[in-house]
Formats: sequence, C-alpha cells, structure tokens
Amino acid sequence: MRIAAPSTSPEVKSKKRYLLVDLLIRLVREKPLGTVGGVIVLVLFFTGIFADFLAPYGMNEANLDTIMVLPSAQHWLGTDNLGRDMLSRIIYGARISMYVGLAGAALDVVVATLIGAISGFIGGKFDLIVQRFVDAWMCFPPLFIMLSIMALLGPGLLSVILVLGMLAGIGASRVVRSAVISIKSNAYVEAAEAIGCTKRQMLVRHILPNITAPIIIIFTVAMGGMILYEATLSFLGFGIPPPEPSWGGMLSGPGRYQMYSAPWMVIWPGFALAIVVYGINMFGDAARDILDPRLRGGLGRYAGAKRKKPKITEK
Amino acid sequence: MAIPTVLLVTIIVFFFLRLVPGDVIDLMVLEHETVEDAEVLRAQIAEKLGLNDPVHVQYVNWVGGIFRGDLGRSLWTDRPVTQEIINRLPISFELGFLALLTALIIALPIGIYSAIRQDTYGDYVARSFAIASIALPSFWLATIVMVFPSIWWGWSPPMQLITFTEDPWGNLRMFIIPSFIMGMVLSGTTMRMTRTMMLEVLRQDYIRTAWSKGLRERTIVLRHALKNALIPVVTIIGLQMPIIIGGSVVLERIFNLPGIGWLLIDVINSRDYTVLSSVNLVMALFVLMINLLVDLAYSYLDPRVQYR
Repeated sequence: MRIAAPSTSPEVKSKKRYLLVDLLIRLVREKPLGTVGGVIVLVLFFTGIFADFLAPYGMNEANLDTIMVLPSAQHWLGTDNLGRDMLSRIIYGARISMYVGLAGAALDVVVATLIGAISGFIGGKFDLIVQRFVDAWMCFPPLFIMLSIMALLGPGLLSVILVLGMLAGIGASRVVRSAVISIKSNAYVEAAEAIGCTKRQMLVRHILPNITAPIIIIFTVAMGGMILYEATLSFLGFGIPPPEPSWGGMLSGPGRYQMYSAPWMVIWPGFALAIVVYGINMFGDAARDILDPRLRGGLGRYAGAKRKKPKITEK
Repeated sequence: MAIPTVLLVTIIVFFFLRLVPGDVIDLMVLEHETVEDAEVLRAQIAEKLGLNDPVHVQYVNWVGGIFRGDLGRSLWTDRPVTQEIINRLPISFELGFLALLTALIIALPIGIYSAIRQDTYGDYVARSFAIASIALPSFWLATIVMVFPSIWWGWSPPMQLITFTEDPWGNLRMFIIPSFIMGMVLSGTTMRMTRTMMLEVLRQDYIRTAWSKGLRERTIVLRHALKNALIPVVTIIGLQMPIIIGGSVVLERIFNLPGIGWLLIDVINSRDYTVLSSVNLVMALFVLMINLLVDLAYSYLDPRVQYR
C-alpha cells in the first residue's frame, strides 16, 4: 500500500486550497447577500474572541452613579438598571452566542452523523427501529422538551449546549441518513465491498467523506437556530443564569420592570440577536446553494420532504 | 406506523421526565420543608409517584392511566392533571389557530405574488421580509410591542384574561397581538416555500397549455397552479405545529395568557413532575395527530397519492 502514500503531496494540497478559494470567489460573485451574512458571522466571531479588548467596561461593572443613562459619548448604548454599560454587555453577549452557536452546532453535527450514518448504513430492521425513535422525538414541541430537560439539568452554558445540540442532532440525523442511503447505492461502494473492505472502512473511507456537504449545511443552518433558542431559554429564565450577559437574558429579569423608563435596555440585545441570526441564515442559504445545488429551494425542503414522504402509486 | 411512535413517545416521557432520580426529590424536599418534616414528605412523594415499585410496574401503571384518560394528580395542589390541561387548552388553541391564520394570510398572497413577479423589486422586498421575519426573536418583538406604544401613546395590550363567552370582541382584541407576532414569525418559512413551489409549478407544461388556451392570469395562477403548489406547503404547516406550540410558551408568558405554555413554566418552577411529564406527553401526542391529518390532507390535494 505504498502507492496510497503520496496523497499528502503538496500538489494535492494546493488543489484543495484552490477548491476553498474557488468556493469563496463563487460566494462573493454569486451571493452578495450570503457574503454580507458571512461578514456578519466573522464580525460575531471577532467580537466574541476579542471581547476583553473591545469592551470599554467590564461585563458586570456596576456603577450606581450611572443608572439607566441615555446613550451618550461615555456609554454609546446607554446603561442598564445597575449602571452597567450596555455596549460592553452586548459585546460579551456575543461571546456567549458564539459559544452556543459553535459548540451546539458541532454537537448537533456529531449526533446527527452518528445516528444518521449508522442507521442509514446498517439499514433493515435496525434502521426501522431507530427511525421510529427519531419520529417520536420529533413529536415533542422543541421549546417544551428543552425547558423540561433544562429544568432537570439546571441552568448553565454547558447544559444549554448539551440540550440544544442533542435535540437538534436527533432531528438532523434524517438528512445525514438519506444522504448515506443514496451514496450507499453507488457503484464505488459496491466495488469497495467487492475488494474486501470491512464495513467500518466502507463507512469511514468511502461514505463519510461524501456527506461533507450536507454536514457543513447542517452546521451553518443549525447555528442560527441555536443562538435564537439559547436567547429564548435565557429570556424565560432557564438558559444562562444572570449576571452572565446573554442577549436573551438581558431582556428578562429585574431589568424588565424598568424597560418603560429605559427602553434602550430592550432594543439593543434583540437588535444584535436579529442581525446575527439574519447573517447566519443568509450565509447558510448561500453555502447550501453553492455546496449542494440539489438542495436549492425552500427552507428545510430537503429535510421536510424526506420526513414524510407519501407513497405515490405508480400506474 | 403511528402506534409504535405513540408507545415510544410514552417511553421517552417516562424515562426522561417521569422517572425522576431520587436526588431530585431530595432537592424538592429541601426547598419546601424543614429537615424534620423532610423524611415524611420524601416518603409521601415517593409513594405518590409510585417510586417504590419496580420500574416496569411504574411504567405499566402510568400508561394504563393514560389510556383511561387519567394522567394522575398534581404533586403539590393534588388537582387532577387531566382537568388542569383541559382548562388551559382552549387558550393555547385560540392563540395557535389565530397565529396560523395570520401566517397564511401574510404568507400565501405575498408568496404567490413574489413567484409570478420573480426578480422584480416587489419580489426582493417580499423575500427580504421573509428572511428577516425568520431571524426576529418573537420575545423581542413582543417586548417592543409592550414598551413603545405605552411610552408614545400610553397604550398597552390588555393583561387580564377575557373569555370568549363573556366578551367576544374583547377576547379577540386580547389575542390579536400575540397571534399576529407569532404569525409573522411563522410566515417567513411558509412564504418562501409557497414561492419556490409556485415557481416550480408555473414552469410545467400544463400551465403553458393554459396560457395558450387564452385563460386569464388569475385563473391560471389560482385554479391551475396554486393547488399543486400547495401540497408541500401543507407539509411545512404540519412541521410548524411543534414550533407554534413551543412559541406559545413565550407569548403566553409575555401577554399573560394562562394557556399550556404558562402551565409549563409554572410546573417547572414548582418542580411538579407529574404535571410536567403529562403536559409534554399531551403535546407530543397532539403533534403526532396533526402529522397524521397532514398526511390525509395530501390525498385530498393530490389524488395520485394513495395510502395502502
């Protein structure tokens, strides 16, 4: 098996890099809105990573002299009911959204790939049983089951990521499963079996590399939803506990009673949330169109159509 | 295929929510009683939840109760859970129904317009609106609606529940704002789906035939294209049902509507696990039923679809 070794030669590497650059060029040329979305995502990551340097004040730096001041030169977005700088809290909130978005979507992808790939690859009765389980999970209204499990786990960043990632992963496993099933029937998989590949080799070397596109799509599409759900959970008081500056949590709690006298306290967090989720959705749509032209179309059409496909009798 | 799913739903609820680990009970006890009473209360709760039985006996007892329509009693108030849920269902139903209606009233005309005038400015505006509405958090929109009209005009939405039988108009006025917000958030997905499907259908041969017969545009769009384009849209509406029910938690909380979502938050706060598991179970079964109805709606919309 010496012949396989040159696969890491510089030639192939440069070709791979070329592919990535090519995708980027296509994104900028064909999808102006997707590019804007991508820039918004980059800004979110930049803000999240460098929050300590960007924020003019500490995230919980309360100052009783500056309670609920209007937006001004010292406090660009005003201050909240404890005199904390809103801009700084929004900037630190970006970090939480980034954590939840990235870690939640990563867990989502891992769970979806594990369930979907194994269920689709093995097929038969095993697949049937696993799919009924997925069916059953999909029946639960997401917010209900999230809140219920969060109540058992207790609030916190880790449990938010666990709950969001696991639940989304179970749903997304269908997309992976249908991709695996369609790839399984290709001639090269049969050829791999014919030359004596083990099941594991077939799955890891021949099938998994070919479902990268749907996996990247699941990741980008999931991120926006994760951030929105985290904000909703925190808003209801079951997500990230205060005083951590989660964008959703900033709209709830004691600050809520003061919102009539200091409306800027409720504008900015929601504004930040809407822009970020909009950006991620636009970027995700563009990534989907570029990576997998078959999926072009309505939101969730691919997943939706696969979920309940009626039998059409042939005449 | 529905029956095994129903059984699995009960198993999930049982193992994830009903089968509360012992230390959770300890926590409940600690929160409510002094140390001396704690042991007694702990034993009472364990007895009430049937925790002293083996797991499979607990499960069979619980499922048996469900099929008789008996979901047990609340841990703290001792009221029957079934009654509690039935009392609150109409409120959530009204909210969900009005939201769905709003979503369709917004989504269908704009979706159709945006498809028949593809790539015009109207289309761009409609599509931007659709994508924006998906990104807007409903709890933020609701908060904004609470805050700004009250600052500017001293107006705020009614916060005291008015039942429909008492005062139909007042009741509707109370539900219209939360359901409009929920409907707006929902409409984005439906709008995009309607547009995509209309575009696909409008390129079919039979539409060209209809044009060459000299039919009016309105007839072609509404009578020939729409019905076929709506088939996948119905699926999307079915898939949105869990989101509608989930969204009720946020909006019922903000607008003070004592529906199922409100009940959920209440029982989570009071750690009432019998009610918590029952609420989840009832909602999951409801979604399952809606999915079955959506499948049946297929055969009406598309006579080629038959169920064997």
